[in-house]
Amino acid sequence: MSEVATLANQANTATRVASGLDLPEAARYQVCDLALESTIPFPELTPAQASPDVRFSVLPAGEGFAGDLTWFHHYAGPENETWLRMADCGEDYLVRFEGYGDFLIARDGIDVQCCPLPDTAESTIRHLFLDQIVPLVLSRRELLVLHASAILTPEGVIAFVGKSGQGKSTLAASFAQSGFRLISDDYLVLRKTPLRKMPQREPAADWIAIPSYPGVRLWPETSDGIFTVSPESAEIAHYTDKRRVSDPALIPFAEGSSALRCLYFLDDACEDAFQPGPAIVRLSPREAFMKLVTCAFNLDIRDKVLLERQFEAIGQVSTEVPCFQLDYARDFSSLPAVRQLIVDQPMRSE
Amino acid sequence: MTLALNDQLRIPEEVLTSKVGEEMILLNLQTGMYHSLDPVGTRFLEMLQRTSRLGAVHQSLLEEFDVSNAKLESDLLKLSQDMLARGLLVKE
Repeated sequence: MSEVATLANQANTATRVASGLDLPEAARYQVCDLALESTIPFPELTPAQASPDVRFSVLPAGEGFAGDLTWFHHYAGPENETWLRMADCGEDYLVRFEGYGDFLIARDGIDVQCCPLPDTAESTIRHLFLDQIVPLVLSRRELLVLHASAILTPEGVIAFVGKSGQGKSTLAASFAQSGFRLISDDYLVLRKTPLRKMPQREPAADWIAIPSYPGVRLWPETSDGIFTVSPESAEIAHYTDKRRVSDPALIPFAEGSSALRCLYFLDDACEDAFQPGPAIVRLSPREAFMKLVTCAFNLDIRDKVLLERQFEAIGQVSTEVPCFQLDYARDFSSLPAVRQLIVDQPMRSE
Repeated sequence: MTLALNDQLRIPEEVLTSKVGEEMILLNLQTGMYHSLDPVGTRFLEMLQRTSRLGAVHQSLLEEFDVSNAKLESDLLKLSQDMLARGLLVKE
């Protein structure tokens, strides 16, 4: 990783956030199947001992990373405001969250540094790292990282793919509260099993889903609608009222990877006052492909080698994994019927 | 650019293809745009990948589909022209 000075100072990577908890040394955690070494504590994650795959350090708050920045992509928020921008910064990638801070990511994804803006809370730094930076880093290592929640059923993992606000976390929490184990709340890492010797007509490989980390992020009213008793929850970030619910008695977390069973794509809730019961429609491989393209994480959309790899992976998933459109009323009372339809449906369709 | 059946076309290196079911998805890495072809268009492209000569593709499709010579030629040239304009094919 190249050396980059912050505008505020020349801090090195070992410096801790001044306002953060005092860690005598970096601690290690597991996220997806990565071992993470961090200079700030991550109460959301399970401690780990393995040698780190990713090292994360937080520099003292400042004005962001300086240097020769070449901006190449940005994402807009719900109000069409720029929420995230990406740039080349020397040999590294810079990801800037407007109003919160910068993350500098080494090309190989091993070292990540954060320079938060002065008023950014540590919870916000952790959230941005865990839920935005980690999937972007993984997108350069793994075949496919999708914007999806997922749960484990006896027949395998089913995933709910969609954009923010379309109901991924609500569905995952609803299933988890019914005893199904959580695989992921917001991003799903898919990996191909090694090639196996099998008859030529059989698929060349299966897809497995890697659990991300425990907990789901829910609006307070969603928690109230799903759980009979208001669960313990933690702040996610200073800019949102969403809370993280991670009580294992309420949201049991999957311990290991499992075969992917099928994908359900979510759309925005129907505006019509009258909405018939939940419905599932099988998607053609082409329809699934086009939807997957819009839901795949990608740190560098200019990287043709990775684009080619992702293109091939999406083609395989869209033909090898059953994909469906799921429509239902966004009403808590409809969730039991949605769950039942989903639990029954894959067996009926195959 | 005017096309004729004696022209030769090919998929440029910056265009990726993936057959999903009966249909073909194409990604133009230069523009970042995804495109899809219906089953007939997919058949056309599969043949073009084997022989770049439009005339040979026309002859094969004529044997495969119940369509008049003139109608097929017109449709084929129109599709090829459209794909050329989108950078999904190049003239050799």
